[in-house]
Parts: sequence; structure tokens; C-alpha cells
Amino acid sequence: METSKFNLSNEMKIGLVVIAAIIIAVIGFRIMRDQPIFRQSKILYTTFDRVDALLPGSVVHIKGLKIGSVKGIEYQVEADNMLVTLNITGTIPIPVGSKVKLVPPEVFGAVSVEIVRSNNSQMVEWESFLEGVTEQGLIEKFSEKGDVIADELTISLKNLNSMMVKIDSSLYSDNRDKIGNTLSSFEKTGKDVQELISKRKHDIDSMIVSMSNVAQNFDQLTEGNKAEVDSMITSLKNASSELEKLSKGLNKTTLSLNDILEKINEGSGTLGKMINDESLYTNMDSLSFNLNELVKNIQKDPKRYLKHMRLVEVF
Amino acid sequence: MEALKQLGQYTLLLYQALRSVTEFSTYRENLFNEFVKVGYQSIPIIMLVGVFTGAVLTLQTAYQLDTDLYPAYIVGSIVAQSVIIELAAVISGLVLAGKVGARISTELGTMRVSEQIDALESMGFNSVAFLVLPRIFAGVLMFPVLYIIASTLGIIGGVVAGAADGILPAAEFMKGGRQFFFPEDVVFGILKSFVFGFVITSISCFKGYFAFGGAEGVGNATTQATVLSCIYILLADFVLAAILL
Repeated sequence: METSKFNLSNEMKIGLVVIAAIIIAVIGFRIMRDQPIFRQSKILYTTFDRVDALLPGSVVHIKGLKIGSVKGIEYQVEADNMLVTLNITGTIPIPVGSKVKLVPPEVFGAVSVEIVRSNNSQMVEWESFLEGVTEQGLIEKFSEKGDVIADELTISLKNLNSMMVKIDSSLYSDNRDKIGNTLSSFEKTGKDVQELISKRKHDIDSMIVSMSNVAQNFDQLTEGNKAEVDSMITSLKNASSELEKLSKGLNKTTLSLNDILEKINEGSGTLGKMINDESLYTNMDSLSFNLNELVKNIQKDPKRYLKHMRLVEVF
Repeated sequence: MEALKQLGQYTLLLYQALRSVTEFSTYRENLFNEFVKVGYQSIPIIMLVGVFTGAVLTLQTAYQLDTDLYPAYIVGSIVAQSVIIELAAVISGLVLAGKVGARISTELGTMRVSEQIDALESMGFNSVAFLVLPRIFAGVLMFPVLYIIASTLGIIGGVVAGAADGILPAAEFMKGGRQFFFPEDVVFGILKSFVFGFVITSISCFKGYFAFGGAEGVGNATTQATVLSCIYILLADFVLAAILL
């Protein structure tokens, strides 16, 4: 018998390969079915009226945390409902009286199952039944809203319809003659205008011709004086740029003037104080009064003040 | 006409093989030898094929589904299911048509043109039971084993490639894979590999057993065996899919 360098007989090799393959197959199968590899899983049962594309392998959540998967779905003929076997792998305890909710898919998700825990302190035993409830999905909610919208739309359409009927009746009864009259008078006006135009056709024609002449003349004029017009435009441009500079300068000036005025207003600086401080005015006032007095006194008794002053020195 | 004649020869050979199933003592030793050659010695190449099939399929599926319209775990669903249903069986079948089929037809063809088969016959040996039967048995029984290895490693390769390339984490991949994992798919894959094992070994035995014309004849027989095996694998794949899915 042929032997390899490890001294394994052919039978041994084959046996090893086959056993390895079987083990791989079993483990792989259990992994793909989301069942625990070695220990026996914990099973719960529930029933739903309809399972809405729930599949074996769909996820079981508690508060969004995955704790297991759907192991199998069976149709029960007598009860006319679906018996769903849940395979629990998580360690979250599930109280007695918890409900199993069928959660419909969001737009691109898959159907899943959520266990809503009750407040009972007693925990469920494995292989027992939980109550199953279903919940509305996004699309179902939308379609329900859609019904309401459709109803509203129907009402709106009815209103629109009745309005149209009213308009129709008003057109065809009382106001019919009036509308007719209006239209005929419009027609008459149109005819008059037409007549007028045909009568004055010659005048209008000549007017158009003379206008065209004027335009032509103007054209010629501008053509002839093109250079002058150009220079005019250039000088205008220059002037406008000058104007711009000027306005900039003016702007600056205004700004600084503003500044000054503000300062004056605030009362800083001589001018400010002069304007805002009344004491200066009163001082000046009293000064001028005193001066007045002084002049009067001098006029009365000039010797008293000019005693020691010679006339030459004063004038 | 030639094709019909060949079909008759092929059927007759299979019938002879089937009739000598009871002669266990004749082919016992050869059987284990073939198990090792077909099964045990093919494991490395099958592992390689599996890993790369899964990895490449993951990258390319992610590339093709590169929109926000699908959740990422869809990649896992597609890869796992494709590997289980189709690729693990068919690609390993095609690879083994080269590896196993060529060896079988060359062996038997050489024995035929060097008149070893005639010698066996003249010694009173049942040459079909001695040479053909163990090879077909080995193919039929070992290919499912190789399929299991290839598909498992294909999924592992997909998970690793997806995680390493940042396409989707391993948990997401497995979530997708589980969502579309049906036990029937595995049965279907095993059935496929079973059929492919039979197709490859029986055609190779037939071509080798009836080889003629010296070294060139052996070469022709080997070429035909490999090409025909590939063609019939694809044909059988289509027929099985059409019937069973």
C-alpha cells in the first residue's frame, strides 16, 4: 500500500478528508442559518396572521439589538395563521407576556421581528409561545395618507366642477346678450380703426418715409462726424474719470468733516467746548460787560487810567 | 454516425462498469488509490479556486452595485448565493476536468496503447472493473467533498476580501449571506458536483480506455477528454438549473 511521508495510509487520508468535509459542511450550514455551532439553541414560538415576506434567517431584535433569527415559518391550516419559530442566541432575558412584533421593511430593508419586553419579572421558558402583533410599514402608512389625499382631491374637483357649471350658466343666460353686445362693439371699434387707417394710409406712408429720411440723415451725420463724435466720447470718458476722482476726494473730505463735526458735537477740542460749554459764553458776556464798564469809566475819568501814560505811547 | 457509435460505446462501458460493481475485491485497492488522487490531492487547488472565486466575486459585485440604491449587505447575499449555487461547483469542475480528467485519460490511454489493458484481459482480469469503476466512484464520491471545501472557502474569501478592501464589514457580509441562504441551494450545489464528478471521470475513462494510435493517440484522447468534460459540465449545469430551479 502506498504511504505518504507522514505515514498516513490512503484510507486514513480519505477518512480525514471526508470527516473534515462533513464537519465543515455542518459548521458552515449552522453559521449560514445563524444557529449556534455547538450548543443547542433556545427556541420560542409565535404566530402571525400574515408574515409579509418574512424568511427563515430574518433577524430578531430586542430594542434594535440582534438576539437571534427566524428559524422556520409554517402555515397552520386549522388556525389559518403562520407559526414562526424564533431561534434566540442572545443573552437578554425575555419576560413572560412579551410581544413579538413583525416590523415591516423600511424602503430598502428587509422584514424583521422585534420582541417587545413586558415588565413581568418572570422569564419565559424556552419552547413556549409569545403573542405576535403586526405593525404598519412605511409604504402602508403612505398609502393610507394617499387615500385621504385622494378624498380631498375628489372634493376639490367637485367644487371646481360646480364652479364651472355656474360659470357656464351665467354665460348662457343673463349675460349672454351683454357679452354679445360687448363683442360686437369691439368688432365695430376694430372696423373703425381699420377704416381710419385705410383713409389715412397715404399720410401714414409719407410719415414713415420722412421718418426713415430723418434716420438716414442722422446716420449720415454721425458717419461724417465720426472722428469728432469719437473725440467727444473720449473727452466725456476722461471727464467722467475726473469726476470719479473728484467724487472720491469729496467723499474723503466729507468723511473727515463728519469726523470733525462729530468731535465738535461730543465737545472735544476748542470749537467743541466753545459750542457745547456755556461757561465760555457767560465768561465772554461778563467780559464784554466789564469792558463796557471799563470804557465808560475811562471816558468819565480818563486821567485815572492814563495818568502814567503818555499820549504818544497810546496812539 | 461516429457520434452515435461513440455514444453506444460509452453507454456499453458504463453498463460493464455497473455490472461489475459487485466485484469489490477486484477494484478495492485501486478505489482507495483513486480517492486519494482525486480527492485528497486536489484539495490545495480547490482551496485556491474557492478563495479567489469568492474574493474576486465580492470585489466585482461591489463594483457593479456601486450606487446608494442598495444596502451594502446585498453584496454578501449575491456572493454567498452565487458561490453556493454555481461557482463553487462549476469552477472547481472545470479546474478538475483539467487536473483529474487529463490524468485519467492519459493513464488509461497509455495502458491501452502499450497493450497493458489487453494483458489484463488475457490474465482474466475484468479491466473495466479494475480501471474504470474505481475512477468513476472516486469522482462521484469525492467531488461533493471538494465542493463543500470550495464553497466554504469561497464565502470566507468573500468575507475577507470585502473586509480587507473596505467594501463591507464581515458581519454585514454574513447578514446578507444569511438573508438569502436556503438549504436547498446547498443540496443543489452538492448534486451539481456529484453530476460533474460523474461527467468528468466517465468521459475521461471512456476517451482513455478507447484510445488508439500510439503517443499521438494518447494525446488526442487526453485533449478530447478535457474539452468534452468542460463542454458537458456546462451542459449539465444548464440542464440541472433548468430542471431543478
